[in-house]
Amino acid sequence: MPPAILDDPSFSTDSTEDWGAEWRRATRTVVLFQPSLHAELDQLAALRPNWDGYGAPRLDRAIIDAARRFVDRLPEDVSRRPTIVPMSPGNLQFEWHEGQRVLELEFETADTIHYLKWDPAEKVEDENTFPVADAGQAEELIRWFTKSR
Amino acid sequence: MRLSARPSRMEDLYRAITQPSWWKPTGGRPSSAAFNYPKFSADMASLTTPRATLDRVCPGANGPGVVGFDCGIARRLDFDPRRELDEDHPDNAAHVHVYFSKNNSQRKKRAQKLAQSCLVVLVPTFD
Repeated sequence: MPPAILDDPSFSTDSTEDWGAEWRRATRTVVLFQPSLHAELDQLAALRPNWDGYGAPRLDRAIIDAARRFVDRLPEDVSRRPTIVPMSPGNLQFEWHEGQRVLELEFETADTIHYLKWDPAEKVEDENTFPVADAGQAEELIRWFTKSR
Repeated sequence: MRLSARPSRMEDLYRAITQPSWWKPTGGRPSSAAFNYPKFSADMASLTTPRATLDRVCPGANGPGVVGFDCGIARRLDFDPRRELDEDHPDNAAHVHVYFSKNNSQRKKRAQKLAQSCLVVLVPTFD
């Protein structure tokens, strides 16, 4: 895996490196936040029972593993880092927010994603499920969020 | 103690925001993840205080906050609050379980609307 350049002290606008090469590296944004998403999943995997104060169990290991595979399959040009949100039944969801616009991809199980596309300004309130293995559907949803900004 | 089945539609309900990722600081509102369940706990505002709600759920923690939502709005969104025993805090007379009464295919939309209807009562201060 290429290094995360945001953590790379050599990455700066003063770099003597060819600017075009640096820009190409910088636009491969998902590669940058993949390591931090994996680190976030490590933290979520370590949550203790009752992590929400309302009696939640530990997060489901199979769902954490499915989320890791999902992170590894994110398209390279996704420019917005999602938040990974633990959920009280022991599952999790990826969230993208900008103003009132929201995209949620909830891993209901290790095999099923329940999504919400939400944009009040465009009267978008779309909710449905699809198999985790359907990477094309996930990519289409993420592109809806990132391209309609 | 005998509890009535349903709080008044005029009642406000408190829900503690205990996870940093349940709070969207840029929007100053909770994530739908705080409500996106077939059943979750809340407290009746008329029978408790925001601080008491927080102290029951996460005693001594720095950062968590409390949001409030209207019982009538919750019902219109098909969330059904019922006064039921808090098994972890049986002396909590303010406790309700909130049930989502529609099928799972509408849960996320309704949870999103409920999250957007919330008023912030104690602002979370997660770092």
